[in-house]
Amino acid sequence: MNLDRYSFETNKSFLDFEFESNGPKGKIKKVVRFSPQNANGITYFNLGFGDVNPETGSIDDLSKSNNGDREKILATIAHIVLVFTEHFPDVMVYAQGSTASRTRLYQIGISNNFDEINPILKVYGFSGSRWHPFEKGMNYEAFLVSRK
Amino acid sequence: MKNLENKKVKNQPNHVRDYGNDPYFVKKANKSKAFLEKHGFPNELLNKMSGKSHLPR
Repeated sequence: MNLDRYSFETNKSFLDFEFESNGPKGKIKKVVRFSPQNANGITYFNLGFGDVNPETGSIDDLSKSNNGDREKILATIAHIVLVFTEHFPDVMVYAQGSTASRTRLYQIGISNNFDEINPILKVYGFSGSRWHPFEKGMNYEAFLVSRK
Repeated sequence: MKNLENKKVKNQPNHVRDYGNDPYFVKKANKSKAFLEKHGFPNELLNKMSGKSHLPR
């Protein structure tokens, strides 16, 4: 599967990625940020995603752009994770939405792009107080991925 | 850049800004830390990571 997706740009650090959603509401700048973090002595990267407020330049944390391109955006984020982990192959990436519905969107994104992701990444989902190998159709609270 | 996958990425150091200090991303990273300190990591991933120290930064 190779879903339609947006082209994107990154910077020298390879931690920040930008792309533009293009739909009925015009062009909306999106950002994916991989923030280095440490928990229990283990380094990982938190995946953050949001819209850039064109007036302030900061991220709108709970904006809903409704630009009619959800699947294309999710495919783009999935591909960015593949590119990021190709550049940094020994890292773990954690993802959790700001709300339950946003976490659900990540789950949809992983499921829809699983054919592309699965040969390359190990994906885990958190549910019932522990981590499980990702399965389509299951609901998770958070996700962790790394290169196989 | 090793393969076709990465050839589509435009790396323009002066174009994409560093969002590392954006409050939203800082808050998200801190929230993830709290979650993982409470619940831990999958053992299989930890085993894979052990012995690997090629982390950026």
